[in-house]
Amino acid sequence: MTPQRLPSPIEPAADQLAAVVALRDLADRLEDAAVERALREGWSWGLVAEALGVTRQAVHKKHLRRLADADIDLRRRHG
Amino acid sequence: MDEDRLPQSVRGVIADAIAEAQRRAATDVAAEHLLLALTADSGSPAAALLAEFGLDHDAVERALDEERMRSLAVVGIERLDPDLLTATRRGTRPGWAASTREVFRRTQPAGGHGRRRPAMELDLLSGIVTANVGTVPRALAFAGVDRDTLIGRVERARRADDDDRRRPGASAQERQAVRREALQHAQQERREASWEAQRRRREAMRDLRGALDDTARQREDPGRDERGQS
Repeated sequence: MTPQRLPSPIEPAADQLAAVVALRDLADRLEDAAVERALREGWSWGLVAEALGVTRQAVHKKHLRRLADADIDLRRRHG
Repeated sequence: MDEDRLPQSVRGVIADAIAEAQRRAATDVAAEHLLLALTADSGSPAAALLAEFGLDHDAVERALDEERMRSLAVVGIERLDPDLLTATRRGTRPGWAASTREVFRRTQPAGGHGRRRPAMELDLLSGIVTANVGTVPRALAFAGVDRDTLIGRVERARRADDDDRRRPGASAQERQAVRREALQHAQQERREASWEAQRRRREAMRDLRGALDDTARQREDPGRDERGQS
């Protein structure tokens, strides 16, 4: 391949890179939904963090503000 | 990216793009959200131009969904339960994706802060559609839009808009933009002249050094010529 060639946005290499983008986006949206569901079902933030393999601070930082206003019973949000 | 430093004329579009990103649950405001924002303002020159290619707000949205679906299909994700992705929307403001920064980098407009909103929108559109790879070019390809034709059309619209502004009676800012261009041109000419002079000096030095070396060699071995002759 000559370095000058402009790649097509839909050739196989571009498809594979686009899959990475789509998967990152999917993972983010899936995480939003999964964390919210677990908390609605009574999981503590600590358990959610453990299940995700991250620190509780990380989960808090990413989701607390979003879910604090949702009608979730977050009594154990600091647990 | 510092929003306060953006021209007033694009702030509306930017605000719309942020709303589009939030609506689509994106973590960052990307080029595709700018495109959605431009199509949402029907009646603007940018939206009218996109409509010529069948790209109204709904069509762009469909094209983006199609792009997302096809990209996931590459790794075998074909059917997704939408319930798995249902979540309360993020309240925080999304950040800026690299693609948005690229759009602004590609469309540093000549007139900068003096550009009216319609002209700025065409500048933005130009920055969006000239991307070679990424989500937007993919979505356009899947929507059956010929990218080169679209780019040509956008550039024609921008030129027509510029010609309008160059007519006599242009505003002070526009005259300043023309002056700045002339100044840059003159600077470039001076720079090229100085490069040329430097090149000539370097050549002269090389010749001179060559001549000196020859003389030095002869001085180190003064008998060489005589020996060669004997």
